Amino acid sequence: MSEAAVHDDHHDHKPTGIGRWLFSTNHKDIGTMYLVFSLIMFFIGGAMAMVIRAELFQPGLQFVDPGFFNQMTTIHALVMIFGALMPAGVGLANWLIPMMIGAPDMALPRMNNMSFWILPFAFTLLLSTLFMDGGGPAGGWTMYPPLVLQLGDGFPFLIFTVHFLGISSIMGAINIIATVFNMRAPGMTYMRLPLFVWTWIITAFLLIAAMPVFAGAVTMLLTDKYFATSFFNAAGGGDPVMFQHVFWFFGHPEVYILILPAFGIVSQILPTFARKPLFGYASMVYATAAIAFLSFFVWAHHMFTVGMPLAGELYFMYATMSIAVPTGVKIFNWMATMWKGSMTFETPMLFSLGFIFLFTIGGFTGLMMGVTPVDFQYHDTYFIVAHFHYVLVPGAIFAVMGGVYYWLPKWTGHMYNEKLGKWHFWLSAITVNILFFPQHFLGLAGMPRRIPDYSVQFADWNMVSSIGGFAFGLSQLVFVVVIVQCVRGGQKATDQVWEGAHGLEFTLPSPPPFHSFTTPPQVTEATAHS
Amino acid sequence: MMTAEKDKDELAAARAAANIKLAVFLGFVALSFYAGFIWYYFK
Repeated sequence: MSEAAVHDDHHDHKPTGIGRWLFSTNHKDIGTMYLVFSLIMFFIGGAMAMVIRAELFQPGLQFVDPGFFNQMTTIHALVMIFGALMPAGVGLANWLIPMMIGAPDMALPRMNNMSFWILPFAFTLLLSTLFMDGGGPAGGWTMYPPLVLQLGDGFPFLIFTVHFLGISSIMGAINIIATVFNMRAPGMTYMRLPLFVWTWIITAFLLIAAMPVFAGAVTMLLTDKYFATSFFNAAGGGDPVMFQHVFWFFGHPEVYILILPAFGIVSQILPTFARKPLFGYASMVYATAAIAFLSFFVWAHHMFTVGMPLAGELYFMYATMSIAVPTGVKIFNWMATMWKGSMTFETPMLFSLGFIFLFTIGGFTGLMMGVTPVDFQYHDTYFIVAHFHYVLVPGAIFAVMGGVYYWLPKWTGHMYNEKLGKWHFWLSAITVNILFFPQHFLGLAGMPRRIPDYSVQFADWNMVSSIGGFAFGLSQLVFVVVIVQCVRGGQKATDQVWEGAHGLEFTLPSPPPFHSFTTPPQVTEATAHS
Repeated sequence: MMTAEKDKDELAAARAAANIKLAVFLGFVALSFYAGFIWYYFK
């Protein structure tokens, strides 16, 4: 039991005022802060996406100069990945893992506070670069040298932002591992853990293995620029391609850091609304672990075109293909979970179904790009942009939104407005396809990514994509309205919230008390997971 | 202090110590990846 939990046995009080949030060691408050921060960053990153789509609405330079356009594409990616998606996952983990495993709080509550509060400072550093000489980072979120080394005063800010984000993520990961390893309630064996908890344990290990490598690589960029080293400087005997290898050794696991918690969320939601237990629980756990393990051995499929030996190309192609096997296991298990279930289609279920369908499209285009000779045509085109946005927007973000709708009544004690929720889903699902599907055509026709201007033959689909982008952005305001309404009031939620919901979090009142499970529950097979 | 409460506190303290030990260990793993990686390229 954590120190805070010991303390709580004697003084079960709820702090008030700004201090409650600044000095919080409560997993629910910290989870809320992560989620609110993530939503704010989602809109900041989204505003940058709107600048990008406005500029690309028609050929020619319309609104911004090319340098600023490049800053927008770069910072949009950094903000969305490290500011919106990762904190959303950690926020959900904070809120849910202690309640799901029957613990009173996270294992290391003070470190939890620090993990969160690093984030606003890190992103202040990053966003402040927009106002500096030379502007913000504009060489792409991949920070390839030598281009990234041309950045002006913002360069060290970018590097230290990455360091802070890495420290925050690693502390968060350590906290999650310690919580699940040491804080489980009696009877909560590993194979009784909810799938969401499993996906987070595996994600936490990915973070600990991948983030330090990234931090090391950007440290070397820093010394190349300011301390005359030549790690990646060809003139001094270094190798810029080596940075690409190192970056993607981090970057590919990073993709799974974003998507595995989404898999976990969907695995919680589907059984509830299909009113059936999750099909193939053990195989889901092993498939998640297999995906994570394989993610460290496929990195060079991001850089087939740099030129590598044929054996290397073949290896990375087949290794990439192999990830489709455990991913397929998961998708078929989700389908089998729904098979002959008594399904209903509340908003969380709609988002989960949207996730499965649209993530699979992103997965399939990923397989296409994994084929080495074919990738030579797709590389650095809008086909890639379409692919990873399908994986991350109707993939990871839809799952997070589904998760928010699913647990929001538990967190607030009120049911959200189902009608508005469904409006949010359908508007998002339609507009996200108008936004990203045409980008496949643009890429196949040869439109390069990261350009502010383009040839006229790309005009029509770019206009369609931009209209989809503006509509998708506006649709997200509905999400904010639903959340605000739900926090402020509404129909009282029951403890179980959903008829088919199982799991320890649904044995607590809605909203749960400030300190939950101060006395650990006894977990049995029947009460363990859905 | 009641015996049961004392046992509970001792159990909690032991668990807190285990949490910190695990966190320190994992922190060293992360740091060694970071430092080891840079050292590898310095060689």
